[in-house]
Amino acid sequence: MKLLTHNMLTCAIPDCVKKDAGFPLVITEVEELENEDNEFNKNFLVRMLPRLEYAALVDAAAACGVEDMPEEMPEDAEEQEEFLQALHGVLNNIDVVKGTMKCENCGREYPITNKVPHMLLNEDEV
Amino acid sequence: MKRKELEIALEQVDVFQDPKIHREQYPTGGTLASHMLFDICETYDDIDDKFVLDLGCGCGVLAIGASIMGAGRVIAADIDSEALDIAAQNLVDYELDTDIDLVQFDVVQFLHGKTMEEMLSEMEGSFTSSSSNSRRRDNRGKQGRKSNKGKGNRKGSKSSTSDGIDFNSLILDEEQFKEYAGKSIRNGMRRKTFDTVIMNPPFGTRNKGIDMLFLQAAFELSKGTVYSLHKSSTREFIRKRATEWGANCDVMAQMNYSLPKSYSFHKEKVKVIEVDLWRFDVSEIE
Repeated sequence: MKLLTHNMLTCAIPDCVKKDAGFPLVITEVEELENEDNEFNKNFLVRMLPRLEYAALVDAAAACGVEDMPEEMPEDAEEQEEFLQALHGVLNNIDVVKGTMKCENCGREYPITNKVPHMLLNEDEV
Repeated sequence: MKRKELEIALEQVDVFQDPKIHREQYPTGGTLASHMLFDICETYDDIDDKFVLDLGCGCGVLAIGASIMGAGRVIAADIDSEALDIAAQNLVDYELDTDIDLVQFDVVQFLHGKTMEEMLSEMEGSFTSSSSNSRRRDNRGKQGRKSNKGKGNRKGSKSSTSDGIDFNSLILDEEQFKEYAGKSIRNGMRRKTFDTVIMNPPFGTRNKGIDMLFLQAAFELSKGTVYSLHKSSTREFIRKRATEWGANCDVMAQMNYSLPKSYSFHKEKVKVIEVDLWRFDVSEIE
């Protein structure tokens, strides 16, 4: 699971959705991580800027050992080559192979195994 | 890249070894997939540098094709872990395992906060249990559909066949659909984050209406366009619903979909059905 993907995932428990409290899922455990070397694509990154939940990304990056992301996204982020490179690094290169995410509202945990986050609920949770 | 090259590349994708009937797991052939992806790319430029979701990805053919055609990032989502395992191996074989992320995700749960399995058993129960019959009558008696908010309109859940389950009752009407407009969070994924959703959903031959649930989920997940294959016989119904939900829609092409004899109940060796490739512009939908 790339941190870009993580930025899109929310808790699936209906009550959390109702309260608008199912985001972000906090990465509580990282058992295995890969650092990949994917191609930097500026067009794509700039396109994604307004859609990112940046605070959630900073926390997710920290959970994966990257502590030096700026706390706020620079206003002219699309012009800041260095920032975009760093952003690319956390969004597209960090890959959580095995770990756990947790909803802070309800405590529901979502496992990540073989890079795949599992968002399915059990029958008794709905 | 030429279309034929993409077709040949996609023909090599490993497909279901043991397809599940109730999930309507038919592979998307290389010819169909390559025509679909080339049209999307060349006519509408909706793949290059875009954030793309393959919803109900199965073994990942469309995701792999979208990535080859230059998508910025691709997420491929499916409910079935065996399909995802095959997809994961395909990504490794194509050296695309760092470009495409797989997510285990349930469309029904996304829309209704219930799992598909739970929904199935609940619906099956409602066909036989008298208590839920009376509940349905109660609902019918109420004015409007507000009483059903978030639960889907259940008035159509009257017919079931041994072939499958009728999901038509879960299709949101205009009002229910708008209930989520402007919200960012849904069950499992944020709304309106992808540029393009590309999918070959179940056609609803075994589970009536599941095709419409996929479409509805795709409309919520995409902020730009949705490309999807549907049986041509459902064309007018889809046009009506999609327009009600606020999309601009067009049939880009009609194609022949060859279903190989993957299930024992198929009599013909290859069954050909007519399908439409739809383009939905959902950018006006909040």
